[in-house]
Amino acid sequence: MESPESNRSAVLPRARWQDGTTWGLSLIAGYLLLATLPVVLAFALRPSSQEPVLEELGKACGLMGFALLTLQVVLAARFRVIQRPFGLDVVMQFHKAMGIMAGILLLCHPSFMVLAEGNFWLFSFETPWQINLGKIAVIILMVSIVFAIAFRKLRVNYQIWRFLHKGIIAAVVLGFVHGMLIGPDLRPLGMRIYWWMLFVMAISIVLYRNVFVPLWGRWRFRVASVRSETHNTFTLTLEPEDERQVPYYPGQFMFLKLRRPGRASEEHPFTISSSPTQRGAIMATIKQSGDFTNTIDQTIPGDMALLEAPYGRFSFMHHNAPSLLFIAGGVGITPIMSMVRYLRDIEDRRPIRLIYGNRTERDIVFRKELSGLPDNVSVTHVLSEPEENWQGLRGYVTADIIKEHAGPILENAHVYLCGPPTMMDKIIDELRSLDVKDRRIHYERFAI
Amino acid sequence: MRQKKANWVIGLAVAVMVAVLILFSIVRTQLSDDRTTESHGQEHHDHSMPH
Repeated sequence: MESPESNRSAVLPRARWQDGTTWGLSLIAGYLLLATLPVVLAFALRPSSQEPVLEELGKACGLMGFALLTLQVVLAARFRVIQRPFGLDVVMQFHKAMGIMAGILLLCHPSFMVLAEGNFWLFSFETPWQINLGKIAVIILMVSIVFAIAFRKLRVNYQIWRFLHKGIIAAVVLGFVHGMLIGPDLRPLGMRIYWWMLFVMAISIVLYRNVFVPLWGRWRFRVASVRSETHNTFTLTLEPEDERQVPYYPGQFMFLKLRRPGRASEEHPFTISSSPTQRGAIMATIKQSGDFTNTIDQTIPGDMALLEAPYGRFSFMHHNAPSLLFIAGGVGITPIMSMVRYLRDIEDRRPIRLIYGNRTERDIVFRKELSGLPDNVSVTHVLSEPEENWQGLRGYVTADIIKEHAGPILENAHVYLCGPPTMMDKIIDELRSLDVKDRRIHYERFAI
Repeated sequence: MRQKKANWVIGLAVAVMVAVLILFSIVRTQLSDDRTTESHGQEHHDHSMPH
């Protein structure tokens, strides 16, 4: 099948207010409110205490630590309404930081209470079982946090890591029971209601993510074609099983789960390389670079594709840019291609520069299409290991190359970067050296 | 950059949480001290009242 037909009208996400700063600030305020409320509420319902400050601090750490733990489930649930003002990568950055914060608080909870009472026997497992539940919860949490931070170094399979990470819900259950049974601050009805509310929220979201979404919460597509773009990069064109269109901004990504006979069905994030103007189908361009992607060429038309989309905030649609500079490395061209296709289809006349780095000529993805773009779009190829007969630029994308090929627009252009992390770090430094302000540099990082 | 802003938000969130934890823990114990003092005063006052 050829590329889906382009159309000047696009199916874009609705409720644009969800992309705005006001909504983002409201979410941050709501998060802080929910996280601190148990401590404030406990104080309001029992304003004075005869206990030492350290013991009160220990109890408060337990209350807030549990609230953060349940809110972790919300952050990890990939709610589009939550990620829209920030981007999913930033939500995950926050999730990681708050996970560490929850771990520290829940470690401080018993430690402060033991220190306040000077009773180190409480650290043993010879305490009543209600207290031991809390200790088991803290141990589960600590192991999970260390594992989450170090899993790359441990070279654990991502799917196995993901499965084990979900075990944190056991800490939520144990923490809930532990608090209900022995928490002195949880005796007033108001606190018990809040405690239950946090618990029910966490469990409901876990059920939503693990039962509802797999059964009913994904867009159902079929693979219409598999096209080779280069020696190791392939484009899957996916067509919906019904007439519904996935609304997305150019540059966004999706979670794709392929159901292929004889192969494990794994979910992975991939950028959408088509434009929302290419209605009727959605495309993902995938490079063979891992256990799952190495088999992408074995996908055949008719295979089922389940999608969760759209995600991310890597799109010029969120900025009022007078001109655009795209810098891509390798398969990092995919979100940029989506944006370039969109700009071409809506006949946007802004000055657009694309600087595209690859190792060799045969690694250039979408080469033919890139050579046929409108006059306002200029494309510069840079190869780090070119053949001798290569006529274009050699080496890596540097400040000099950016200045030479995008100089006239650099003063006010918004810059969109996508490529290997080391390349992006280097180019960000190069752009700063050219006085491009950080607020005009946009990129997305996918790292756990 | 969004990632840079996120670091600020994380810092702010941590600061707010730590402040709430410390503030309410101290105030709670302080209120207890004040109440003890107050109750002594009240007790004294009560004794001065005619029965």
